[in-house]
Amino acid sequence: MLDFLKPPIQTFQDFVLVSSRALGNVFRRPHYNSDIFQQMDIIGVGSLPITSMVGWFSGIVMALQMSRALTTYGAESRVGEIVSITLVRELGPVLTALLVAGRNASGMASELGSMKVTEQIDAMRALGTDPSQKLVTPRLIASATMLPLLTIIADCIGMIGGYFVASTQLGLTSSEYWTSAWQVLEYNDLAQGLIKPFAFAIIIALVGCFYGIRTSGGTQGVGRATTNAVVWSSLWIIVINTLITQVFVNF
Amino acid sequence: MPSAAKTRWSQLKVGILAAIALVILAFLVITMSGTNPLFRETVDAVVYFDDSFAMTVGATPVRLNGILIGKVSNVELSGSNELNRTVKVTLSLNADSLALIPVDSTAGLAQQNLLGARYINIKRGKSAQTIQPGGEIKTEATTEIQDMLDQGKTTLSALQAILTRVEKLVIEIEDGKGTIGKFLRDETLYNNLVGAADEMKKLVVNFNNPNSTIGHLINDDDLYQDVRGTMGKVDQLVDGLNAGEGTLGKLLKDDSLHEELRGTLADLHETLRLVNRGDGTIGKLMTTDTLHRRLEDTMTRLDNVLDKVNTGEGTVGQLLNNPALYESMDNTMREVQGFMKDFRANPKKFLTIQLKLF
Repeated sequence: MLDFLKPPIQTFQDFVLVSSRALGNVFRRPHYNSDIFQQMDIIGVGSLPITSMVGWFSGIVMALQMSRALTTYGAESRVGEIVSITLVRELGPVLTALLVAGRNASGMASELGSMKVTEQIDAMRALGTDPSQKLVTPRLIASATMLPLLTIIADCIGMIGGYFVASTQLGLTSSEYWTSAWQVLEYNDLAQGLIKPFAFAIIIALVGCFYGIRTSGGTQGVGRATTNAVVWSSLWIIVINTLITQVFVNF
Repeated sequence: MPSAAKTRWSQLKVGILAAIALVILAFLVITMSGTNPLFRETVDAVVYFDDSFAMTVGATPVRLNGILIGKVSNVELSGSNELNRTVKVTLSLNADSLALIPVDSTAGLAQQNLLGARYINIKRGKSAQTIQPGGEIKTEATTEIQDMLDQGKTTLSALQAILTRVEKLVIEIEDGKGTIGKFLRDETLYNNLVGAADEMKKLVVNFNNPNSTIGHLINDDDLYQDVRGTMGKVDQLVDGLNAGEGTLGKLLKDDSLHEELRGTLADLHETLRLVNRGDGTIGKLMTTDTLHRRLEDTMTRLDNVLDKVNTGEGTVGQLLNNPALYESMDNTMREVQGFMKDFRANPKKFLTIQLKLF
């Protein structure tokens, strides 16, 4: 029994250690600014096309699906409200985070894993550079900064997608759609929509880097680390999303 | 270590992305809930209600005849003891909509949906004058579902009371109590009616019986014959009158009376004609004024005489106006009285006959 529980507990302990070190390094010199910007470019700008696409299509899908239900009550004009609420509160943050997790958590894990198996990290440490400060913290900062911004853009593009459906298929006027779409939002929705991607970004960066750093077993190990990073970060995103939603629904 | 040029390129791309995202966020925050004053100038107006109905500050819409023109910006207790003015609701309205609200507009709470969400609906009035910023919009009485339910409850309980009484009444009627109950339940009335009908039947039979008085009256033709005889006599009388028989007949039929009356009238006419002409005593009296003048003359003289009498002129005047005669007569009478007294007391004094012979 103890042997069965031992590996996951040890893994969690390692994760907490790596995470606390990375988070602590955020407020500790030196800051590798060029690395941070490079990661922002890769994580943020690099993910922009795919997150925009996903936002656009999820907006369209929401408008289409909800219009069917709303027609039952004769409330098609409310489609803007539904699209904006679902996108801002739930779909925008979660879908963007899952995409970034699939795209960047795997990237981080494979990149760091390769450095690990080729002993570049050990070399870095030998040269007196903290690998956490040099490799993990820039990715953490870049993710935490860029994911909320990506989510905002994805939400906006998703609403435009919803408007596309509403105007072409439901016959709504633009003001009818946009007025209700903007007006239905409250500060609660907005806070939820920005806190979620921030939390998801930390999960993505930490999980991706953690599995990359503890890679062992050659190139096979790199593949395993990549898989683990994507699976666990996605799982944690869903779990944390539930917790945050629970908190915001109650308050 | 990435190259400087690559880093700058990354920075630029990240910066653009961040700028776009932040602009969207800012726009969203500003236009959220629709009525932020950053994009639209707003003015306040005030409405008083008796209940706030849990309006949401900043969210409850204000509509002018159904068109969204603002939102509720504040809800507070007014501190007023006046009925219907307990809650002061401040409305934040679009500045340009204020010119569309006449002063006699009325604000009311309308039901947004069946779940109880409400909005304030302003119904446009007809006045040419529009409300001023911060002005008050009058409220209209609104019937709340709760009020309607309360009223319905009262009506229902009243109905129930009535129904209970009706039920009691019906039971009493069924038990045969009271007039209607007896009417419906008791056989006495029926029996009486049957009895009355029997009596009526007997009566009719009696009528038909020629031996009874009424039967006689109905069945015997003696009375009829009598009446016929009487009528025949009356007929004869009238015939006689028509023929000019008897005094009454003559009066009606003979024209000699009429002729005599005509003659008399002709004489009277002649007489009046003579009078008018002035012939005879009466004619003179009526037509000439000699008598009148004489009378007038006499009256004038009499007037003069009376004037003289009043002023004491002449014998009669002195007699009426001068007391001297009265006084002298009075004195004379007194003396006579004294003399008489004296005479009675000492008659010898006067009745002494002195026979003196030389």
